[in-house]
Amino acid sequence: MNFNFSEPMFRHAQSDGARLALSVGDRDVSYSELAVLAQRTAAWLNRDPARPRGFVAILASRSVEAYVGVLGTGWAGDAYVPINPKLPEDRIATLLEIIHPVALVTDEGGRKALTGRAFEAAPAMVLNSFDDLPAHDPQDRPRRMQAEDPAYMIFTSGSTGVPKGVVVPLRAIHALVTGMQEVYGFGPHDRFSKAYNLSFDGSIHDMFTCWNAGASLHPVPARQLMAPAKFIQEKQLTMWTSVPSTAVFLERMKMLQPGAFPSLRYTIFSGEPLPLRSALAWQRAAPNSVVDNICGHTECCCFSTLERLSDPPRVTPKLGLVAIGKPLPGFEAAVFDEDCKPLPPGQEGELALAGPQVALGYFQDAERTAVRFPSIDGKVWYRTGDLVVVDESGSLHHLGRIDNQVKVLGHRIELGEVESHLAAICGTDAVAAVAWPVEHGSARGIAAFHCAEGLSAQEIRDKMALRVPRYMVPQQVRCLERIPLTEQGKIDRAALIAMLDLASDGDVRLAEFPPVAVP
Amino acid sequence: MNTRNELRAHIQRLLADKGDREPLGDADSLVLSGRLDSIDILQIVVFLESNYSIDFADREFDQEDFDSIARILALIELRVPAAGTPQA
Repeated sequence: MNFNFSEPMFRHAQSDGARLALSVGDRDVSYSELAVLAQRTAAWLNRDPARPRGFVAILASRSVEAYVGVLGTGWAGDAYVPINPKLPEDRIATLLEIIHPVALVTDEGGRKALTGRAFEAAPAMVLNSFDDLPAHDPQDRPRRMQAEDPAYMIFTSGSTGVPKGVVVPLRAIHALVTGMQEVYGFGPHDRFSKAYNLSFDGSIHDMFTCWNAGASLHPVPARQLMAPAKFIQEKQLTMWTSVPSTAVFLERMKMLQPGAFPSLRYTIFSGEPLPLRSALAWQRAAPNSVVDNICGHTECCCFSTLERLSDPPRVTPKLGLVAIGKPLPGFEAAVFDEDCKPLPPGQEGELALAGPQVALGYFQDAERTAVRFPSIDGKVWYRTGDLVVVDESGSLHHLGRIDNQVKVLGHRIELGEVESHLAAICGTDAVAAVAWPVEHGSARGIAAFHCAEGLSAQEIRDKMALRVPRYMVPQQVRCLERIPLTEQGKIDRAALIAMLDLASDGDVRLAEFPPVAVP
Repeated sequence: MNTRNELRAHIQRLLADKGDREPLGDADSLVLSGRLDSIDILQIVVFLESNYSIDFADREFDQEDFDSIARILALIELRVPAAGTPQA
């Protein structure tokens, strides 16, 4: 079989091409139109037929160009790498220097972002307009691809200060899409939301599960992301996927009226812990929908475990969060101790996952790949770093992290990466970062500490903003005489958090509203 | 205090809570620039609800309407018949 991820879209274009595939603003794109644009993009990429396969960077967001760029890349036999045009120029340049893409696809926002250092780091082949594409070749088909060929690379925060690329093969998308189809039974009548940005791995499900089913994809405009109630109603969506904070925000805005979303049949919350209260409010607003909490990892192609909201709901004790459930079809889950030995149910340990959705590893980083993707008795596992426990019913509960990875407004951040930038700015290694404040298992921001006298908090924040995505810029910066250390000589983050707790004047609003992510 | 000054004082408090004491112009971007996040927007919504009796339920909500002091003032004017006269 052909594992090319553009193949299912192409099949629908052939069998029922007039059907709606994508709706961006006022622009409706049918399956046949999408296939024509993808084929032309692939032809542009493959002008030199002898070119080795590589990465195509997609510097575009929520536009027809972005999705055509993805599908055209796949059609041509390359792997795509999404880059958010809203990133600072230096960050875009750093990513392009790491990737060395064979080509770059832009939309209006991407063209604006391609300045200075980012422009210099761009490849020679840049697609700025569909007008520059060669004519359609109706004989052309998506290139024949193998299961292990790379499909895409998504960057996540890296603890050493350099973002790390997760390389995911085509078999992973195939397994994800097959599993989701098995669980939900989507059909051509379904209308999918697309709230996640392309650089968030949740978008893999949105796009490929949708086009596999012959359904239509509806990107949520950036200005409606916080409160998409009207969007869901107007677009008559049947499938909603987003971070849970969308439900939290809508509930607070009194927009989750009972029965508000009768068209919804399926809801997936993913990317952050799901507070029970928000899940129940959503269920009342969408009475015809199942409400699922899905836990996912970029290293396992977006979605890994599923818990369906039930009556009574399965809740993680003390945290008020919905459980993360059981592995999706195709996955094997285990709870590991420090030596990667499986623990019995009821004991806390690290969640490890095996199966066809597991990534190939980290780009150009065999060492880290070997640590996080150990092969045990011939089977490759991904060690998630998530601290979990299995209850009597076999459901998994997420209890936190075993390392220094944090989630801020839904974004995954390695504190080590923040500290590495801080150290460079402050000219000293005496720096520290913590996620603070933390509510409902999700942090609102980063607080930074340093020992460099003479640097103002604003100066440090301004310099950080030039280097990292804005959710990684510390909201608070404090100068200390020394950074507290534990007996083992590591940064005493608990002491720093206690210091912040003590200094805050009991901010009740944070207890009331967990954070809302704006991807 | 008039509406503009009250609103400005409220937003400056929100910014100061996050360590942001930069100047704040009427047209300066707050949401798209990342200076305010969604929790801050909720705070502004609560402020508008309690001071101007604006009810956001069942209304179209566009986060860009909150992007600057000028835009929030326009929002108040649009939704409150006698804008600028806060209720007790």
